[in-house]
Amino acid sequence: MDIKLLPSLLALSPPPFIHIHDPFDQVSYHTDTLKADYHVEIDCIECISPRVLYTRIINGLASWSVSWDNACECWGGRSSGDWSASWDSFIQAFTVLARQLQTVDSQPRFTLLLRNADMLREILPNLIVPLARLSELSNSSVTIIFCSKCPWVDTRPVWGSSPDPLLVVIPPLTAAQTISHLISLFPSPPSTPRISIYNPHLKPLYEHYIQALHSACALTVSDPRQLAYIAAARWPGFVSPVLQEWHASRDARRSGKGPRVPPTNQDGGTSSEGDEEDDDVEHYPLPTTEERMRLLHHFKPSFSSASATLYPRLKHARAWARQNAPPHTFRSSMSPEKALRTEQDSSANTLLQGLTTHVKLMLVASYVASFNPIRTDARMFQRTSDGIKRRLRKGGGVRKTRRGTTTKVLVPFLQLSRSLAGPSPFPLDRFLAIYEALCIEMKGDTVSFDREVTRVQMLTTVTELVGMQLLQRTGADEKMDGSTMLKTSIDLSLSQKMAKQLKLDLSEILWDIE
Amino acid sequence: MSVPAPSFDSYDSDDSVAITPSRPSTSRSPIKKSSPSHARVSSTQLSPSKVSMQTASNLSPHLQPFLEAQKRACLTALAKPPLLSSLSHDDDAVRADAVTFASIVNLLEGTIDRGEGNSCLVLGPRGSGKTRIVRETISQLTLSRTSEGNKSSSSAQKSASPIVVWLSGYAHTNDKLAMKEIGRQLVLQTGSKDLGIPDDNDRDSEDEFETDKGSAGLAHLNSILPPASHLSSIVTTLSSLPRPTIIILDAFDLFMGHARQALLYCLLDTVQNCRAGEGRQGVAVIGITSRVDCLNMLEKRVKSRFSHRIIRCSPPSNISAYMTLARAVLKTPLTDAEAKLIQDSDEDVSETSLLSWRTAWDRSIDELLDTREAQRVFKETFELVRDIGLLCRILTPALLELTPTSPWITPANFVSSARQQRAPDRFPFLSEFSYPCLSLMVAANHIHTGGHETLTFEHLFDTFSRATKQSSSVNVSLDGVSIGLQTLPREILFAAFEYLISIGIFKHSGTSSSSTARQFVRYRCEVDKKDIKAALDKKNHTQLKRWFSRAT
Repeated sequence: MDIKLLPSLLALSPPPFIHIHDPFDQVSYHTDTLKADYHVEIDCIECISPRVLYTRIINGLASWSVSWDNACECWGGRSSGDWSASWDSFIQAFTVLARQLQTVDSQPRFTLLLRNADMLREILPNLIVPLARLSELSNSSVTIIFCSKCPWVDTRPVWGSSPDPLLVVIPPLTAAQTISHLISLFPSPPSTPRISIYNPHLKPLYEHYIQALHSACALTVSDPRQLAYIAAARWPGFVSPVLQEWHASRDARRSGKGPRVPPTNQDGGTSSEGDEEDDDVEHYPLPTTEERMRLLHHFKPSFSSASATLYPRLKHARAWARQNAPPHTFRSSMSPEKALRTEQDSSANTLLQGLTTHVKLMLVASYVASFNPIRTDARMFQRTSDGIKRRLRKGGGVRKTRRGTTTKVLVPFLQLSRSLAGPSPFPLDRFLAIYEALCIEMKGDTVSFDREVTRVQMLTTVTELVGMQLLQRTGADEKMDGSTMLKTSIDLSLSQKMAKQLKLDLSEILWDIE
Repeated sequence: MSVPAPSFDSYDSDDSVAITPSRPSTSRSPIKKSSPSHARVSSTQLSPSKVSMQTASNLSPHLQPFLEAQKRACLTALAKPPLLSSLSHDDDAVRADAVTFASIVNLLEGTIDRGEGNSCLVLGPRGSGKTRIVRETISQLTLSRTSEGNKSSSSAQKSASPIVVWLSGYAHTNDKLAMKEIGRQLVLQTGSKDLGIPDDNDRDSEDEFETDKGSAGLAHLNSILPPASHLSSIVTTLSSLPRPTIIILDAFDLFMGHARQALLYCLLDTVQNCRAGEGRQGVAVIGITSRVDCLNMLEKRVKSRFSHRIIRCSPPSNISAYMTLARAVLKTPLTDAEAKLIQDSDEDVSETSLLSWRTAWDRSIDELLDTREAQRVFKETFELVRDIGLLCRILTPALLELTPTSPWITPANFVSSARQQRAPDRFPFLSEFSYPCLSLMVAANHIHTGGHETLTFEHLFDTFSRATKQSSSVNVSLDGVSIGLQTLPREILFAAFEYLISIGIFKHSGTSSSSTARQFVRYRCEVDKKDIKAALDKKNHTQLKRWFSRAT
C-alpha cells in the first residue's frame, strides 16, 4: 500500500498495527500527515531499556515535558508511583491516561510512530509482540506504526506470535521531486542583507545550480539529504564570483573610484554595511545566461569531487568549502581551471609523519606476517649458510608427474585470496623473526643485534602499537610472550606507502600480491 | 479514456447499454469466456446494463458524499469482521463456528449459574478468530446477566455477571507478573483490596469504583494492587470470590514455559477443587492457543488436573464461506445515522439517491467478485492461509484507493493490493537504487556465482575494479567518452555498502569479532539473482547489464 493512502485510513478507521517499509529514509516527509490527536514519535535507537520506551510513550502522549524544575518527574508525578517499571504497570498507566483524555462522546485516538523499529529486534526483542498487540492488551484505540528501513520479515519475531501488520511502502522521490525538494530548501529568512549568499534574489541562479549539481551527482548519490549537504557546501563558493562583482560595483558606485574587492566570508554572507542606501534590484544583476553557463562549466568538476569527498564524509563540509573556494580574483568571465583533486583520506598521511623508521618497519613486518601464509616464510626469507638470500617465488607450482607430463597445481576453488579475506593472526615469535629478516634485508648483513636490548625495545613498541590500534591482540591473556597472537590493522595502501619510504619493495616480500 | 463517460446516475436510470464503446477491453471480457458455473452466476446476477459499471468512471456529484460514507462503513467493518456464524449462510463452516460458540457458552453458563469449575482449551490456527469468539461469548453472557440482574435485583446472586481476568502470555512472561496482573484486575473488578470476599453487596461497590476511576485515576495506579501477602494466595481464593470468575489465558502455550508451570498448576487445581454449592462460586479457565501439541507439553501433574476439553475454532473451511465473508464486509450498508447526515448536509441528496447508491455499490461489488482475476486472488489466498485478517488487509488498500473519479474497486486494484499485502517484494524499488549500490549487488552476485558463500567489502571492491578495468580495456568510446563501466572511488562504494547493510540487503554472516576491520567483515547478499536482473532491466543500465550477464 502506498503511503499516500495512509492519512485517509488513519482518519477513517485506524488499524491497530501498521508497518512502513522505508528503504530510502523518507518517512520524515510524511510524518505531518500521519498525526492523530495524540501522537508520539519515538526513535527506537534511543530506547536502550524498556523503561525509556515506556516513559517516552506516556510522556509523549500526555504532552508532558520533563524539566529540572519538577525534578524530572514523569507524567503523574510521584503520586502515581513507578509505572515505568514493567509492562503491566505501563499498560495500567496507559489505560489511566486514555481514561483521563476521554471526552463525553469520544475515545482518544493514539498514534505511536516507532522509527528504526528493526532496532527493537536487537535491543528489546521481548517487546515487539506486546507492542504489536498494544491495542488488544490495553483495550484502547491505539495505532502502532513501525517504521523501518528493513522489510517486516526482518523485524518480525521468528516464532509466529506477532500479528501481521498492514504493510505500507514509501517509494523514493523521483528526480524531479528531488530537485524541487532541494530548491525548496533555499532558506527565506525575513530579512537578509542585499549581498549575502542566501539572498532571495539569487533563487533563480540557485535553481540552475541545483539542476547542474543533480545531473552531476545523481549517478552516485541519490539521497536528497546527502545532495542537500553537498549543495550547501558548494553554494557559497559557487555564488562568490557573483557576490564579488556586486561588491565591486557597489563600491564603485559609492566612491566613484576603481572597484575594490572586499574579503568575503565563505561561510555565510558578507558584510552588509550600508545596504539600505542602494537597495535597488537593478544594481545587483544576476549573471547572464552566458555567464551562468561559464560559471556552471567552471564548477562542474568540483561537483563530482565534492560528492566523492563529502558523501563518505571524508571531510567536514565547511572545511571542504573553505579549501575549495575559488580565488578572490576569479570572475565568471574567466576560463575554467583544471579539475579539483578529489580529497583523499588524509589521516594516513598525518599518521605516517609521526612514526619512526623502526616502527614503520615493524608495521610492514606485521602486514607481511598477517597476509603471508606461514608455510611460505621459509621461501620468502630463507638464507643459505653464506648469508646469500635464496628466494623461491611461487609459480613453481608445476611439478613433474611420474610419466613425465606436467600438471598445474590448482588452488582450491573456494579459497579466497588472503588479501580479500582479511588479515590472519600470527604469533609474536613469527612476527619478530620476520621483522629481523626485514632488518637484515634493509641494512645488509653487517648489522649486529644486541638481541636482549632489541627484544625488550620491540616488546615495548608492540605494546605501544597495540595501544594505537595499529596492531591488534587477538588473544585474551594479559601476558606478552612468544605465543601471543597479534593481527595487523593497517591496510595495503598504508603499508605500501611505508614500504616505499623504507625503500622496500613490498611486492617482493608479499606472497600473494596482485 | 477518450470518450467522456456519462455519470453513473444517468446510466442507472436507463437500462440500455449506454456506454459500451468506452469500456476498457480488460474489464469484463474474461467473464464471457468463463466456466459454465461462472457463466451461470453472471447470467443470474448481471444484467447487460451492469456490464460497463466499472467504466462509469465519474461519480455524479449527488452520489459523491455516499462514497466517503461507504468507505468508512466498509473500513469499520473490516476492522471488526463479522463472525461467520452471524452470516446467514447454510454451510459447514458456519455450523462449525456456531458449535464453537455454543460450547463455550455452555461451559461458561455452567460456571456462572451452577458454580462449576471448568477448564477448556480453545484451539485454532492463527487468525481463525479464537480470541474474538471468546470475547463475543463473554460480552454476550455479561450482557444477558446484567439485564437479568436489573430485572430481578433481589436474586442477583445467581445471575451475577462474572469477573473476567485476561492474561496474555506475550505480556506476562513469568508467574510473578501474571499473579500481579490477576490481583490488579480482581481489585479493579471487585472494587476493594480485600477482593470483597466477606462482602455480599459487591455490585454497588463496583459501581462506586467505576465512577471513582475516572476522576482520580492516577492516584489509583498505586493502590490497585492487593497487599503483597495476599498476592501469593490469590489463585486459591478465586472460588471464594463473591462472583464467578473466568480466567482467560491468551497464548496458553507460553504459560507452559514458566518455571514448573506453577501458575497453570494452581489455576487448574483450584478449578478441580471447585465444588458447587457451599456458597462458593465457579471458576473457569479458558486457554487460547494455536499450538496443536499443546497438551503434550503440560507436566503430568498439571495435565491430570486439566479437563481435556478442547474446543476447536476453525477458519472458513471452503472458499464460498471465505467469499461470503468478503462480500458481506464490502456490502456493509450505510447506517441510518450516516445516511441521514448526508441527506441533511446536502439538499440535492434524496431518499432515491441513497437507494440508487446502494444498488450501484452492491452491483459493483458483485461484479468485482465475479471477475476471474478477483476469484483467482481469493482462491490463491485461501489456499495459502485462511486467515481472515489477511483478507481484510487485502481489501483495505483497495477500498482506500477509491475516489470520486474512480469510485468502484477494479480488479487491477484488487490484484495489486493482494500482491502487496500477501507476499510483498522483500526489497521493492531495487531499480531506483543508485549506480554504486547496483554495482555492489552485481559484484555480490558474481561472487556468489563464483562459489563463495560470504563476501567482504574488499572482495566486492576487487570484483568491481576488475570489471571496470576489463571494461575500460575495450577501447570503445562515444564522443570521446569511454562507454565502459564508470569507475568509482573506494569511499563512495564503501558508503553505498554501508547503506545496503543498513537496509538489510547485506547481512552479517558467521561470527566476526569487534576487532575485525570493517572491510573484512563477512556478509551475505540477501537479494536474489533474478531480482537484480529485473532491477537492471528496469533501470536499463547497459553497462551493468552487460557486466551482470558476463561470466567472470
